Amino acid sequence: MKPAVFWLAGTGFFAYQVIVLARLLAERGRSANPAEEQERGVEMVWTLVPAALIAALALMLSGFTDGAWSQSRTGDTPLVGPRAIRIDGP
Amino acid sequence: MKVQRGLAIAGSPARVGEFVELTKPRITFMVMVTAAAGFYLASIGRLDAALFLHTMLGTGLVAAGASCLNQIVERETDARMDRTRARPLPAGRVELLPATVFGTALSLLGTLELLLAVNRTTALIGLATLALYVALYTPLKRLTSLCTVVGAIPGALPPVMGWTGASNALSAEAWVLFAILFLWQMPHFLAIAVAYRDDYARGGHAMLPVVDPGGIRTARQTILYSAALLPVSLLPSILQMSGDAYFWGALVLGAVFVAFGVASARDRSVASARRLLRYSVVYLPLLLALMALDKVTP
Repeated sequence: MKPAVFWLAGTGFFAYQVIVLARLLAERGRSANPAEEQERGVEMVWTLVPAALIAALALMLSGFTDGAWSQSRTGDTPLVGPRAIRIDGP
Repeated sequence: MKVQRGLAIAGSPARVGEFVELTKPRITFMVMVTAAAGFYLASIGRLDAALFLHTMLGTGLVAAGASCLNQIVERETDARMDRTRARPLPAGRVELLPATVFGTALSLLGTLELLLAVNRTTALIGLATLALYVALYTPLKRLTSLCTVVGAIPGALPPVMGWTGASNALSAEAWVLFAILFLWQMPHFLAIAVAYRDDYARGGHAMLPVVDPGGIRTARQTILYSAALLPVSLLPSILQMSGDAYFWGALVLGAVFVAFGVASARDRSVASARRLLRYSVVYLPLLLALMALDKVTP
């Protein structure tokens, strides 16, 4: 039940994001005002940020970054939990 | 000489309040609450009280120092805004030099406290928080509405500091807390900017509601970030940091948040922005309290 609710909430967010992005892309180039066009570009960044954040989280949670981070930073095993990354000592 | 005078002023009981005001005590307190939540959630077994106190003290000092330095950089724009012109610097109740000494000292003391009594990871995150807030977010406020996105990064780092304070590890769970705080701040600060749109415009701040007088972009982004917060706020339970009670509680709290966001977006009035703002202020402590109360101990 919990995973279904989680995925439903996630799908709702992504659906809304796709609608906003499609709207912004459709409106692109329609205005003769360069400032308005620039603001549209800025809003595109606003819109993509949460998806980028969630994608980064998904990569971390999938374990994609664990090996790379651990090896590149310390070559050590995690301190706490399966996804932990040790950086230094106290 | 001026520093001595400043310190003398700071030492006067009648003036202490002015210096406390420079630290934005309510924001600093909220920063410490989120850091405390991160520390508690990362603690395995019995909470290390001494380490907890050091983490809180260091985080609080860094937050207070950042707030003070922010007010120094913004003193001229603060003087143009109704909401901020009564602050100690624009009102002339504290001079620039003592405020600078005070803010720098707090920031240094906080970073040192974290470095010497907690760990290097937390100190580095504290330093990054300070730099992002004072050196990047504050000047960006005059240039682009994306300042809010940038400013949400240091705003979301305190629970990560709490987490690394307890575990000395930057794990995915810490970044889940970061994501919750990051996403929560956007509708929260957009609501503030709608409520004080004219004031921000007077101050020359390029907040989204200022550069978007029609309110359509602000409306879209308010809904978008509220909608993103809902699934991300469920992750602590999915990751077994918290239990089922947290999951269903976060779902209800998040759904109500989305409803307030949609109402504010449809209405686009100051009144509905204030309702969203009030709810956002209630939402975060409730969510963190639920997370802590329903913590799953490994």
